[in-house]
Amino acid sequence: MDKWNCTVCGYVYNPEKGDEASGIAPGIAFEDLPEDWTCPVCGAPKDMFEKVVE
Amino acid sequence: MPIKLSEGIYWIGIFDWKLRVFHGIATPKGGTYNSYLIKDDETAIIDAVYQPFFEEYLSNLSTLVDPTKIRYLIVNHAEPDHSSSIMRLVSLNRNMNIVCTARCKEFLEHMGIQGHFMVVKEGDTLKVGRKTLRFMEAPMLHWPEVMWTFLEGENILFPCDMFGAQVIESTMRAEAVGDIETQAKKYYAFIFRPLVAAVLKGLEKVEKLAPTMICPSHGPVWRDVARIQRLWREWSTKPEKGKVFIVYSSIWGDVDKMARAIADGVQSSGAQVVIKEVGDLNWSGWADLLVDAMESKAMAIGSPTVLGGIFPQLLYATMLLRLVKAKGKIGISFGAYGWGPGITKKLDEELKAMEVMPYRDGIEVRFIPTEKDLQLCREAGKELGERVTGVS
Repeated sequence: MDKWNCTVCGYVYNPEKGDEASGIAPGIAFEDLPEDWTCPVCGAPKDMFEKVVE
Repeated sequence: MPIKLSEGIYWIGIFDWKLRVFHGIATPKGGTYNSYLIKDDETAIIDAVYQPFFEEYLSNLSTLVDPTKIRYLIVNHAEPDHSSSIMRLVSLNRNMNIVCTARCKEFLEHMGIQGHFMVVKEGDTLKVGRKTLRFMEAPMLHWPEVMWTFLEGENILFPCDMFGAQVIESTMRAEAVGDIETQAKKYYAFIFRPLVAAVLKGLEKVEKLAPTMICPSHGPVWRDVARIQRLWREWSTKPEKGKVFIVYSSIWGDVDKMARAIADGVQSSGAQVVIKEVGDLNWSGWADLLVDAMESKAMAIGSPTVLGGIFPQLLYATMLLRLVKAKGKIGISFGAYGWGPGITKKLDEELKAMEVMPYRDGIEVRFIPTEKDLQLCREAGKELGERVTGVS
């Protein structure tokens, strides 16, 4: 599963860790996050994320 | 001086008549820092002003209210043009509650602002007498900590920087500004177009609120709320007109000749064209580039070759235009070289970074364009024009 980077603040969503503060359990792919999920650091919507190319 | 907007609602902001550039946006008519006073059993203020204007601000608001009696300072946004005088207000009134989001509190504290914070979240309300204020978190409209304040019942929305413009109209009526759409569009292009994904969500939220009056934090107040919402939706979804935008740098006039030949070709197709040489631009010109790019369906960028690369002057324009975030445009590159070719490959990378698709090879000339080269430019321009008007 891919990591996704917030283009606004640099936060990286790591699906292996999830996003506990927003109730997202580990193992959820970025694509499967709810549409209204926002960056836990700056609040940017999903559309402002880019896939991390490693 | 304060302006009454509605029963118990006053504008108590500042007109900055000398403002000519507002972080990159040209403001030939000056600009405003809006603060609003809500007078009921309790007194609340929405946002403060830029610190250099504090004395004027204090004297204005003191005509309506004793500053020591202000119960709530609602901070919709932590940016210094609204927040930098908060400490001076607090020093006059230590009991004042600073009402803001958790993120905003963190930002303000980091800026050295101390006081009695009252953290609110989405949907929280505050009764100040008969009037009730509701708070809505609005992250990335246009900073992470931003919130909106909504006066329930009267349906007056204070959406912070959203729906703003940097222009003075001394009665604070948007409808009285002849070129309000142009002014609002420049402001939108620079500050909100890069955040279009958040803007679209925000617009949906505003529609549900059905406000009767919109009081932004810069520029005049909107009573024709349908008009400003319609404009914002258009700029956020389909801002493009059948227009080709040519932006370039030139040192000895050769790239300039190419740009003009491309423009001739576009004109021969019947499409609109705008050409700008970045060397001619002042602050106002740089800001206008964003509007030109937002409104174009196709772009052409050109540069001479300087030590194997793009003339740096053009790179400021392309970096700026990356902010436009409008997918689906097509583009071509053009340029001149003396010693080694390849400039258009580099320009094509810049087009891609702006999310503009170079649909054909760029046009390169050595030293000075020949008549044959210019004919190629005219043909390319005609084809670009036909593509944007839908002929080919």
